[in-house]
Amino acid sequence: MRFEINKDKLLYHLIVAQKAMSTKTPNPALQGMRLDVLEDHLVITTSNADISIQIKLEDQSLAIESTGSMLIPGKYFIDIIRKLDGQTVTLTQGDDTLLRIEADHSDITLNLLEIEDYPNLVFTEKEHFVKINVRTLKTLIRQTAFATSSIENRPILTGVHVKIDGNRLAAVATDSYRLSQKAIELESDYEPMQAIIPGKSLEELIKILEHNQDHVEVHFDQSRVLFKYRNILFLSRLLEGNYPETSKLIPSDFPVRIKFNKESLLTAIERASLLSNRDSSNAVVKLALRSDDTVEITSNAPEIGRVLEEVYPVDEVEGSPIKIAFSSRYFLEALKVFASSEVTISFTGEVRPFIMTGEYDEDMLQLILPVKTD
Amino acid sequence: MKMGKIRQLDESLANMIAAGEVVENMASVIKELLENALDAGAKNIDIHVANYGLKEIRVEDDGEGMDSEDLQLAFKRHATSKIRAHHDLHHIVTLGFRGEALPSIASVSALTIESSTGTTEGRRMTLKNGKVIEDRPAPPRRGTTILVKDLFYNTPARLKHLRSEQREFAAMVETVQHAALSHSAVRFSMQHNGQSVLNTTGRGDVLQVLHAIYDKHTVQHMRHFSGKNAYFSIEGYAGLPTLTRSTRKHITLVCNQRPIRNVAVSSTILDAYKSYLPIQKFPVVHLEIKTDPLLIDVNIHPQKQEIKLSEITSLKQLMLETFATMFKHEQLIPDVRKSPEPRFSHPKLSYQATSPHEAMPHVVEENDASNTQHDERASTDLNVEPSPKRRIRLPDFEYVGQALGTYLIFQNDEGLHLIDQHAAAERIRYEAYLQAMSRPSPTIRMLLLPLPISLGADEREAFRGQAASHLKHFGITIVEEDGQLALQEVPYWFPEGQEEHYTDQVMAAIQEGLTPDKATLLDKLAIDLACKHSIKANHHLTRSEIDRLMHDLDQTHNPFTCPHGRPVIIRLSIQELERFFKRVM
Repeated sequence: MRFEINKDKLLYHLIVAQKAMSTKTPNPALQGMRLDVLEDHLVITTSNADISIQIKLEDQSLAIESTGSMLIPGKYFIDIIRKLDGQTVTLTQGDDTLLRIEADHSDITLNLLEIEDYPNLVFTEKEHFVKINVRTLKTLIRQTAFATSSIENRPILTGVHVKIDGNRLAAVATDSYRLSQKAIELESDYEPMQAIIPGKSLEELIKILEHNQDHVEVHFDQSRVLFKYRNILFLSRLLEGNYPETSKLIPSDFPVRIKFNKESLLTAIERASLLSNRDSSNAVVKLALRSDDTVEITSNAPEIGRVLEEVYPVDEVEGSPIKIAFSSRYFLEALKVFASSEVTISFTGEVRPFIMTGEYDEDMLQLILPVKTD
Repeated sequence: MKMGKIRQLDESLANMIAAGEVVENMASVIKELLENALDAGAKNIDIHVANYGLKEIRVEDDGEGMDSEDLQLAFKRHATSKIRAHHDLHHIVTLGFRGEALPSIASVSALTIESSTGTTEGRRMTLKNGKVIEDRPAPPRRGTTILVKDLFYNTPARLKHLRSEQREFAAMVETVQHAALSHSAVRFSMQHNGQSVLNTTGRGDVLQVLHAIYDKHTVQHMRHFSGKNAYFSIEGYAGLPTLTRSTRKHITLVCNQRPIRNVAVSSTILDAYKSYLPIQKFPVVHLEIKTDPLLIDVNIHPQKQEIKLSEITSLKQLMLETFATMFKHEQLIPDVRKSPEPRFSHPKLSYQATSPHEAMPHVVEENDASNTQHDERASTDLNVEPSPKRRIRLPDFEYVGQALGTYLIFQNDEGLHLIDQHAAAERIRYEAYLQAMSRPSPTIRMLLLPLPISLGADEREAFRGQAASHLKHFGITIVEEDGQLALQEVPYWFPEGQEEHYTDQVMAAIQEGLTPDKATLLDKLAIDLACKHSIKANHHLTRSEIDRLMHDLDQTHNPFTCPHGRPVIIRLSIQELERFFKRVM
């Protein structure tokens, strides 16, 4: 096996493939990167327990002399390619166990991994798939995946629940302390279906997607989902089980509504959360609507000090004075995903969940559970 | 003809029997003699011991002495100058009072006593087996000298039961030390076979006495404390938690100038050190209690060391508060080098009573001991109350690296600091948990989707009973839906993902005894949780994790020991390093 290719082209794709490479795994084969050299293109494959990536690499700089397959120690390979000088790199499989990397004045030999140990991965494309605009999908993920649980005690909550009905796709994520929900309109109608995609997989996927008007094909299987984006196949396992019915948990009647300038609310709460002596991202912050319709944001850490911020709502306030306490982290994380510059917070009661919505964030809501103090 | 079987013992026999209680070993002889000397108002006491006291014990004082008549009476049992009537027993201010000592000692040894009031001619008597065998005038030197020879020569059984000579001797030395500590204004000198064992200056400076008893290192690691309430005033010196001993013998208690033993008091001291000291390690503490004699009962044992205290709760409270204040203001890193300046700046100085938060009095060259101490007190005494929230801070240092996956290495201009990452994490969590748990109304996190938990049948039962309200107290609310129990609300401080596990622990702690003492429950729970969920040894930390750890550690009240009392930080000073490498000798 021997070929040469533009170094930057190769590196770009290796970095994409790296997203699915394991660094910590008892199986050394999974630390490898599978490289298949075919007649006119390369196939790069990586995999870890949750996701697998397969890239079909065709390029005019690619000149294949002979074909073959090998399993390359991924981390060393990427680090070496990254540091090479020169435009072009030539890769040669010396015998079954060695890879020779030549570029400019460098001549490097890497010991290969045993390719027989590599799992047999199947990236099956389905006949029926869902087509989503890249930018829309990116936004959807960004606005929901952060609210998944990072804790494995309820595995189902580590995923984003995706539900398709007709031309509507709704995504929900919750770790049971907050909930995020976003719906998008699809370009055509689909059979009803649902799946739970691990939040972590989506966080990796989003790094691969560019911000453009391309489309992503989403192929759902019984236990897996395949995202096809340009020459990249991104495969994730699905979570099994029943996602809890969340719609009835979202209140619909809001006696108090306050519209804020997102930026000023954000900075006020960020300042208020500075005074937590344990974890500044997890401070308890209190919000109080005063009778004069100004809003007071406070936090109090007896050993450090206290913060009082006044925030003036935009527009008229609906409802009567209310006082509510919450974790600053959940609040800030939710607030940050809004594209709107003005955000409305709607309250049901002092110890009832409250929600955030924004005019330019259609079909999106962020729900947060307050904390009880005193 | 039959004789009655019961008869009055002759006096010498009665004395020997009494001696069984009062004079059980050499240490008790010394103790009785010292008490007599101190009660006589001696300012100088010289003790000479030969052959571990078996051969000879001589105690020489410059007290008020006895005239001939008194001396004669001194050997009658229950003859005492110290109590005249019944009610005096409730106001005992002298050390001895039972009038048993001299006759008892005389009955089991050859005893020579020479005494004079200094104004008239003195008298010298020698007794053997309780009988006077010599009686003659002596020079009019004020004071009393008692020479005890051949102790226990006539009670072989007792002689046999003595412990090894070394241990008997150690007990004697300890007795003299306690006397010296309780009477720092009296000069004590003790010699054994002509070699000096203890020398105090008699300047009224307890620290100097401590210095004479322990080494310089020990005294450097002791801190002054004092406190007062309606019934008691306490004062003394307490070793930093790094100064540990494996017996509790180094806790000396003095009450109204009497060395005492009292389990309640010493266990209170240990309580105060709890969580600072490793298991089975004990501190060095000298505690003086001053109180109305009415509140103490010393007459519960012939040796007069066990005492009973009324209002003990109030004393305990005072002790715990005083110690806590002291620890709070102390630098608790092992192997601290003393800083020459006091750590707080003082807008105003005063010479009044010592404050509990004074810095370390410097030790102490023999000749300027009292001066030094005086200055120290002056310079560290605060007229302004320091903020009660003031924490002890970690010194500034820069991170060097992690060693063995377990120890973090830092350096500053004082040397190297090693931090045990597990111990540090434990301390942080322990304090955070304890603080969070102790709040009367906890901050509570609600769950949108109740978290199902699995409970055993007995726990379910308990939950349906009393446990539910206890849980509620912690901020835990459990709901039951279709026979499934689920967490609806948890305390805010429960780490995410650990809700069920922590609830389990709380349940277990509650079930273990439904203990009414919430503080103990909380403390135990905090220690358990902190230990289980803190980063362990052999765990690589990233730089940001380390920064975070140090930041959090700096926020704790006691960053220097883990809740089990093991040290978090140790220091290798530059001097030590230089000595290791023989850069200095």
